[in-house]
Amino acid sequence: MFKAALIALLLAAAIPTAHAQAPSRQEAPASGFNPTATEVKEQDLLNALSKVEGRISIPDTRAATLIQPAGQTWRDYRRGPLLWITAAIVLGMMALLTLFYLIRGRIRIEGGRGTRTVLRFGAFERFMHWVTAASWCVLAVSGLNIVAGSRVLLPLIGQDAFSTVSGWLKYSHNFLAFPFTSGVVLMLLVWVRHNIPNRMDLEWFRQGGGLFGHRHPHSRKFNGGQKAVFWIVVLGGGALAATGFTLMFPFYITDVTGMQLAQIAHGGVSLLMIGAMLGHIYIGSVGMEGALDAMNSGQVDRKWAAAHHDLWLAEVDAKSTPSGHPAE
Amino acid sequence: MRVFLIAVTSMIAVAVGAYYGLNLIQKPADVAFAVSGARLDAPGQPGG
Repeated sequence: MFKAALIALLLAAAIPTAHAQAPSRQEAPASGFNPTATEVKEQDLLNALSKVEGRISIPDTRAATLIQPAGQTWRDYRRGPLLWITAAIVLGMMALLTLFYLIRGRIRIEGGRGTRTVLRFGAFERFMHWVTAASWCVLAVSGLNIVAGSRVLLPLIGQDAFSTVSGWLKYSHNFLAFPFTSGVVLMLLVWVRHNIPNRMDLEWFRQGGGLFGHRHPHSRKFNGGQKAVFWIVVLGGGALAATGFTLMFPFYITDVTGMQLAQIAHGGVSLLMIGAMLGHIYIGSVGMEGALDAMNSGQVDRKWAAAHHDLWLAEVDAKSTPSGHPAE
Repeated sequence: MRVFLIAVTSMIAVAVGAYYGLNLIQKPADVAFAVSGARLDAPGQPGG
């Protein structure tokens, strides 16, 4: 009762529009305060108003906002559904990949490795890939700690250690956003011409990318799956940068409601990217023999290239000098 | 491997640059999330 009366006092003084939006309620006295306040229900008012605001005369207009009810919904989402969605995506994807590995095993190079290699990615391509990938790994881990660290890590390492670790991860999250964004921009500029979707990609997806058999669909430099990863990184990374920088500079770009929406979008896109990148990391390392060479030394086995990127290999050979060495 | 190490070193260099850049333009949380009429202690520094 005391709480209801206190809220009635607060709202009656601060929001003259509140009563106008609740016509069935008892009219308040001229003083603006109804001591009985039987008709004032806190939740009704919070549901009806996006913000509970008053009138102020100081320059800082943010001071007029007394209560922002959507913040409660946002907080409940972060404490509940977001944790379960995170667990479902991260653990679910890891379980799927483990199952795939147990069923399919490592995708080997047909007939084993050969003796000849071909340059697949130059030094600069590998550089921008690793800048983006290394930044993303730290951003993903630190982001997951923000969402679930207090439930997962804190019970394991204790408050003091968790506080220290979380502090460093939070700093890392802010500062590594810049190399990550730089890497995404570089990849967009350098690789976009190879990643324009076409009919060949549909056929690649129709055949399951050759993951489930010994036949491999035709492909140029990037196949359908790699193009999907590229656009997930570019569009997802762009969305993460936009929402992340919005959160990094509070109230510069949007108000508190906008920042809550930005945080929800940031978390949602991050989780989709984490799921996709787990698949990318798997197939680029333990899932496929010879794939990691492309980003390690840059030289891939010609038999691997012929199986997975036959049209690209033909293009490279066509550009080769008469001595047989790639023109690159 | 050499390219990977150069990439990680560059990543750290850009992050350090971001640290100094953000120190210049980013407001601390106790300022950014408080209105001008509010006075809050700096995080981790009671009474500061």
